[in-house]
Amino acid sequence: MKPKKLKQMKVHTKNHKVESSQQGTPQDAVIETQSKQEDSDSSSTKVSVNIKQNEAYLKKVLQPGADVIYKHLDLQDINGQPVNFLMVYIKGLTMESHINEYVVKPLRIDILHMEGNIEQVRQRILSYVLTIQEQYDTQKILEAILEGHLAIFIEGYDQVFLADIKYFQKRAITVPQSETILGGPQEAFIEDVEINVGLVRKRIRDIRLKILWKTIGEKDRLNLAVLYLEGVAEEHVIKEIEKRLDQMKADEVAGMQALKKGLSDNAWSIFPQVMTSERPDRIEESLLQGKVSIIVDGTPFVMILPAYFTDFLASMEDANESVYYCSIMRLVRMLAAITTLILSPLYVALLSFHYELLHPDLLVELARYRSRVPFPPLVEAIIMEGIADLIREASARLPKQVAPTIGIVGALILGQASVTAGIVSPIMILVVAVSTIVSSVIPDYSFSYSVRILRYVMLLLSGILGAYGISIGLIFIMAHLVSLTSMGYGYYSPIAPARFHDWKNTVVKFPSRKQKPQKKQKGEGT
Amino acid sequence: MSSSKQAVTSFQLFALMSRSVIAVGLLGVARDVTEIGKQDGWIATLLCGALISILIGFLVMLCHRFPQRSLVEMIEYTLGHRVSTILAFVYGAYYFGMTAMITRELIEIISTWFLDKTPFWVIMAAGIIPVIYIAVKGIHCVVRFVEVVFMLSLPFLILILMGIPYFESINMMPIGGVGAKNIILSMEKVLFAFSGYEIFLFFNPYIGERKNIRKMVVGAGLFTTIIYTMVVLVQILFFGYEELQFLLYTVMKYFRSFEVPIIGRLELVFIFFWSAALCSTLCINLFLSGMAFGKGLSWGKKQGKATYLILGIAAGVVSLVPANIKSVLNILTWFGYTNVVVGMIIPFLVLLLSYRKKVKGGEIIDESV
Repeated sequence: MKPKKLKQMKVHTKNHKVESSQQGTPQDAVIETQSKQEDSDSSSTKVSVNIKQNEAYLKKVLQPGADVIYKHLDLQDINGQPVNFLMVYIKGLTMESHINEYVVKPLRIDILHMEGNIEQVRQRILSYVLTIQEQYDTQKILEAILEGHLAIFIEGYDQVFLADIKYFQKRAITVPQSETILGGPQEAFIEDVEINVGLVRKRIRDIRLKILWKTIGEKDRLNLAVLYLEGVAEEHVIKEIEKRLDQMKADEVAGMQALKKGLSDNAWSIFPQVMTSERPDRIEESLLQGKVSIIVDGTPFVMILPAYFTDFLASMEDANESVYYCSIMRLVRMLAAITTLILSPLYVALLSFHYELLHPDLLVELARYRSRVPFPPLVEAIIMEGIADLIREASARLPKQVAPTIGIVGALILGQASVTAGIVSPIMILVVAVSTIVSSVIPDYSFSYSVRILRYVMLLLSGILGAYGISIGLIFIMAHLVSLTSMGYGYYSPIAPARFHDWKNTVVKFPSRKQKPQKKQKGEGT
Repeated sequence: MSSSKQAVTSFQLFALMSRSVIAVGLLGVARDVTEIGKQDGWIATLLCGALISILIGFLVMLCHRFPQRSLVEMIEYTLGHRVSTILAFVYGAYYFGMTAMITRELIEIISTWFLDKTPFWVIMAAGIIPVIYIAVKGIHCVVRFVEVVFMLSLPFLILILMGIPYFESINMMPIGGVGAKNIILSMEKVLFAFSGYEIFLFFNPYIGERKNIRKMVVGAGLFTTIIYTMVVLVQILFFGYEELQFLLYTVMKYFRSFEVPIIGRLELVFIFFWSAALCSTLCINLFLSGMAFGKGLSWGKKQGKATYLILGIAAGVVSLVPANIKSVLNILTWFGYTNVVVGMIIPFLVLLLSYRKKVKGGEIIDESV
């Protein structure tokens, strides 16, 4: 019986970069033989020719248990000589059915018909599994086992075969959770880097699409793929991203936020400088615009660089709706961000300092409602904004079945009770409700968080200095925004530095045939 | 960052020039110019603006002769190191003084219209901190901030036309009635309002699209001329020149005259945005002050963030020195006279000497001439 070949899988080795740019044609069997000189690391331990010694060493580090499997396979070759194998793998990371079907079963049959030398065995195992790697260093073998490789030791030989038959339980491709749109594609990335790359490849069938596979870190290794369109993305941006990724240690980039921080030009800024998306169509659009995407293993959120301020106010809905709707909505979103930022502070400033600004009729009504409230407007606003944020956080953390209840309890019962108890005025409830609703208009959740935090700063400024405080706060925010860069490009671009020709695809939206790819003009600021 | 990334775009140059010129002068220019020019104050404004636009058109020649040099470096090439050091301190002091006085104007306006019980130093600190932050962040931040503020302030200039239904055309009659002499004499008052046009000579080495310099600089001169003329004309038509003499901030009074739905006092909304506009002007002045002092002390690239921090704090403290707004206006008048020297006489002298010394591309071709 001729054993079947397993599907091709990529090999990730430490500090090893595989660039894949071929489209459609499967590569031949990848055999990566690492020379002994390459492995002459001072900390490395060589594999012994004695299986028992190897097993004893491994068991010290990797105790056998329900998941770590040490399996002996004692066979005889054509001459009746014993050929002993030791297989080590981790259940749950390696596909056990494949081990039995494509390694153990064929070996049992084939070994009876051949001489038990290593070359013949190697050739035979190679015919079972397409991607196989030879290794002499136990440290690297351990790392490979932990990654989900099957390690095959042979008695009498100091070579170990590492078969890439990794298998993880994966989530199915589902609809996006944080970037829902009414029209357009409804698929989102999952936690597997290879599947995510496939989702992008499915959309961009272009030989210019380049993928740099990278592994960060020494011990806790993090796999990621850097995607860009050759000739469209700026070369220096790709190099800068590579440089920054190389400088990172996986131990330091345990979360997405740490990785974002490492890729941000100003890590201390409150504004996100790395765009993330779980939508393949958004990544497609970004790549076509000359941006670079980074797909990280273990997260469905893909990073996009460089990121501009206007990107955080854009939704993929824009690509699927009319230019009129899209243009209006982009302006509405900008207005929403400003409203979120200044509505409550404006209420505080008007009632604390500048009541003469209000029309007398409105002022009388406000005074009537506020007469029962014992707190100054600043305290009243902070209490209500705090409660609104708590309700929102609670709704986000609770199961979907319970979350709406919290919303109803928070909005109706708490609001009504607060007014009846005289803790806040009905106008304040209205202001906070509008402020909370408009903050939801901002499509990017991390940008929305920034605005929400800044709103408290603006509240304090308005409570101390009134409208002048709001003005100073806005000046500060504006100054900070224009000072930011993302991969060396102006974060506030194309607003400042003003690139009016790019406004038709960022600030508003023109029909696609009128658009041109964003390109920097000669002699202009970043 | 490479030098190409330090470039100032044409639009940024336009915004810098416009925001530098349209500053505190706008608030009281109508009163000053109608003092002598009366109903023909707008003609004096128009003529003065046109004259300045022509003059700065000539000054652009300096940018072409010294493409990589700022004004202080141009002086060094033409007048020597010692003179340039002295003049660098003069320019540094001038822009420092302007920063302090504009800060005081901001304090006065905010105190009068917004926060009458808040101590001056609190208003000063709140205003100067973002200005220092922007200057410390460097030329990119200054230029981009000014650009954004300029774009945001454009729609508000349209507000100046909201008094059209109440205009009395009789207020500007008879046109030319005050006579040519009085019109020319009143131009002196407007000249001060136009202070700040010379800043492009400091930003010269950073300008990217060099073929557009003249277009942008003269364009900015004409733009500010139109704005000032419009502001003066509108107020003459609305108030009449006699009434204008009794008003300190004529623009504020103009906005206060209108009643709009919901908002009781429109002038407060105007001040809200005006404070941002003043901050942008402050940023330019503080940045240029640091730049000039840095050149004077031959710091070169060492000129660091501490310079702007110290100068900013010092300007804030100095802004509290004048006893009242009358003293501030008197000091600003002196700064107006100084601007004639630093903005016009010295640059023209440098231009003439550069021809005499045959300077081209920032290098002296033949010193013996």
